Amino acid sequence: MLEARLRKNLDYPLVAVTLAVACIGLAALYSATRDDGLRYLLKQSGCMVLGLIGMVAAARIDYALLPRLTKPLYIVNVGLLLLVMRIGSEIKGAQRWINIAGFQFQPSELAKLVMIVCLASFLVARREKIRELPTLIASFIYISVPTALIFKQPDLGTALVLVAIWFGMTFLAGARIRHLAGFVVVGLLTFTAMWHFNIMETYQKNRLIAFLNPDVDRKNVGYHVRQARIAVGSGQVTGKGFRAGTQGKGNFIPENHTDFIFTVVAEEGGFVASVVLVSVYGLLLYRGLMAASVAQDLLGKLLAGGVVSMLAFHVVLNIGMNVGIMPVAGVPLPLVSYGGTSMVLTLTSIGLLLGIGMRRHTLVF
Amino acid sequence: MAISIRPQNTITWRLGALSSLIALLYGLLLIRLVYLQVVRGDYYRSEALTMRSREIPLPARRGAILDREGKPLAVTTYPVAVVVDPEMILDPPKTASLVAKVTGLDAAEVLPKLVKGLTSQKKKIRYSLIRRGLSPAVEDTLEQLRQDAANHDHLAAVAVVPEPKRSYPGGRTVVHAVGVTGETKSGREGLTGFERQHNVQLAGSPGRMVAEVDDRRRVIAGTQQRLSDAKDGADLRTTIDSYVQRIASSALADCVKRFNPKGATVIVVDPRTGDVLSMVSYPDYDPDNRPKRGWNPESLRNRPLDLYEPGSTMKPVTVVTALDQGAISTTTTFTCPGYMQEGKRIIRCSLHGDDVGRGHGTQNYVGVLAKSCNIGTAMMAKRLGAARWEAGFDRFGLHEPTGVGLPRDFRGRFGFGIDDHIKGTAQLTRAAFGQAVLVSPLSLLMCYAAIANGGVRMQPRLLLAEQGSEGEVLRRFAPVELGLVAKPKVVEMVRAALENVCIAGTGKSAKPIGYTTAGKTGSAQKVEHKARGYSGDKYVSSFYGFVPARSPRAAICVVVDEPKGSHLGAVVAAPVFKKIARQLMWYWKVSPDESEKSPVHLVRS
Repeated sequence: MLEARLRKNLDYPLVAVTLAVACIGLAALYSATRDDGLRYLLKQSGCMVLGLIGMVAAARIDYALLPRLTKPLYIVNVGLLLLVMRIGSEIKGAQRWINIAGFQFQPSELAKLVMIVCLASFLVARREKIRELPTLIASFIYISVPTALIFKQPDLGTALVLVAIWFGMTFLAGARIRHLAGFVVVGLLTFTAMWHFNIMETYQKNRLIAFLNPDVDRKNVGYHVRQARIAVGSGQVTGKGFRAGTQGKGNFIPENHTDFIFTVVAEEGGFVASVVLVSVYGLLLYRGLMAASVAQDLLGKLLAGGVVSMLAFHVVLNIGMNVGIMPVAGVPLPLVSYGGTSMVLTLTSIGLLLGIGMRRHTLVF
Repeated sequence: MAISIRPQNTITWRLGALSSLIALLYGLLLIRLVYLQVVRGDYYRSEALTMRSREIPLPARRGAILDREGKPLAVTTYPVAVVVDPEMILDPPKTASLVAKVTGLDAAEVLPKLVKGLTSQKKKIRYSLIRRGLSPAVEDTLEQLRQDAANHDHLAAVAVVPEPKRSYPGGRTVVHAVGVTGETKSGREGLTGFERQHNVQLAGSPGRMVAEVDDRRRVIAGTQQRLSDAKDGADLRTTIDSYVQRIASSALADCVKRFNPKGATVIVVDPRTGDVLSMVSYPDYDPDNRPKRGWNPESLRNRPLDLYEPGSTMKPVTVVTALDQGAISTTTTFTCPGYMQEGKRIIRCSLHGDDVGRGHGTQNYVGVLAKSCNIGTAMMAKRLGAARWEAGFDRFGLHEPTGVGLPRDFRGRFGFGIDDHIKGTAQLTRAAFGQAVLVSPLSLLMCYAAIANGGVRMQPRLLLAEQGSEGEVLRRFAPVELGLVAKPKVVEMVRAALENVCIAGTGKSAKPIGYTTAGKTGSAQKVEHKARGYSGDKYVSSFYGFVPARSPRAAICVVVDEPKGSHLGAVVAAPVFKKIARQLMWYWKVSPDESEKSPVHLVRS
């Protein structure tokens, strides 16, 4: 599958922790969907196989070739996002999916990986000028187009992920910290303005209100936040046992196979399992950061940094909202939450990390 | 070279910074997890438990009310209803044919009830009642159909709902004593009669079950856990004899047909024990088919315990007391000119036959009772004085509730009626013959029962025993003696005088052939509040007595409120007494005891 030289440099620990997280994910999914048979589990396993293929492919492709694909990737990406607005299927008030031959494909998931690649190429091409504000603004406009489209779906979570990726990558690329800080300030002001001029959806506002004070409306908006907290807390130290969780079973946490799947792990496995999952993820991010630091060139570092930023933001935001320290933004827990597109693309992104790590010694010879 | 190395160094520290940021956020997550799962774990565990558990009461069986032989007067049955959730139906015609099989209806009748739709509040119809009042066996039928895999999914929307129902085999004549149940804030409870008085014993106590529920509080199958069993209510055996009840009610029905009164009551008591064998109150209603509206308020009155002015039937109480207190003797005579001035009012006697125009003449207590002479009774009371008369009222228990064990059991009152504001003799002389005094038919009947029982007053009772569901006796209640009403010798004299009433006095029409009978008629004028006086045409006609007179088996009262056609107790009430007495003697196989000899020595000049 791989050349001997590359295989020698393969980051086996990263492969191991990736598989470990995916396995914990499948187990949690199996438990969360126990009343629905094996339907979800089989679909997710299928996507995992597909994702592993994507991972190998991404590892094999020399990432140095990626900048050449930037333009078509960017255009296809924006095209798909426009398409989903026109023909996408609506689930729970959001248009996020395109049906392809019976499978539901989520272009916004693809957008994250594509934008990492595109932004990396963009930044590498302007590596000398990134300390200048116009370049930084240009890079922001560059990602704004897909971000705005995703925000309109509406999918606040994924839009925020793209912004996080942009912050991570421009920061690594050498943008001035005061410029970035300026962006934060402008961002906050924009947010306040959007709040006041009703550009945000009511449910997005309510989620934020609920996050700030879950007891305001226990039955509706605060419901998820409070129920998730109860499920996690009631797991205590050792948990209630595999498939023995009670809060998900009683439907107290309606989306416990997707965004709230962490509650299943925490409730059934207790503090022990929570810490194991968080730690395994920590190792995964650590290996990602290692890949970034050993990468042979700036492109590799930025690609790896982008993937790590994306994954870290997902993990912190998702687990954070499960335990009630982050607002309910609706981002999945990569490799664990049910969702095929996310599974395939997360594994593919990790394949990218593996490819970067493998090619680290090229310059030595 | 310098240019290419500088960004490398920059990126190294920036990677470090990014790592630190991630590590910091990780730290926050971990602290939060420690707080939620370790520090506050117990709290959230109990929160989760209350969130998902629900206590469900297990209903207790309500005890039956039985007559003295164990025949049911009130029982709870358990019919079921078949209901369907139309939203869950996949194939309406198929489900309709299966439901038809279960309920015994035609599929064509069932089908329209399975149609999905919206209620007026725009909610989906999730509950469609197919048929009520089915046997609990339909649950088995349904289960059998479910065994067949082909039917299983089509029956998923079908449920059997138990609908416990209280029914009253005792029927309408006993409805006032037995009472009825109804929905109250705290569930189904006894509202009237025995059902209300003994609600606690009958109701039992519900058991407790906990089950896990989902977010909509629906029970999750298989999580039910029984904490305590329901304690079924006791069956209560009453003193009512259904056959005596039938005799009494049919005799009264004849009277009602003939005199069309506003209301009437018959009570039959065993004077030896105080057992209430029968209690009839007219008008009545069918407890199994209660009207939703348009109640006749008269039908709700339990007349045996309604206070009224008894009239002449009160006289024996005065006579017993006067003799017992030594206020009069057997030879004390009273001369009645037909009227008497007392204070501002004139007391009159109602006179018949030879007495019209000249009064009742001179007579002792026997004659006073036989002729039902108001003047004579008033004179006795004057000799007695208010205090001693009232003491007699007390000894007969008229100042107390009867203690029969029914709601609205009020004590009698003395000094009420149109003479409310007048104290002293004027009031006393009227009370002596049953005006300006309020008693209930049952409490007055117990006075006659005491005279029948040699002076020993028994507490009237309806509750004989508490029984378990197998008929085993849990508690038996003994008759309760309440003391002597007077010296036995005095009681015997008045008993004999009352026997004479039925031989030579106003009570002749009450005596069945062959059996000695004792009793007293009453034809009380009703108070007309508007006229501030006694009504000229509204009467309460009554007869109180016991039979056989010499070894009494039954004390019976017949009270008829506002009869049309006649107002005389002898005409309206006494024949009812006679009919009941005759049938009771036959029912109990009592041999005729009448001798030719007159029991008392009548003094008359």
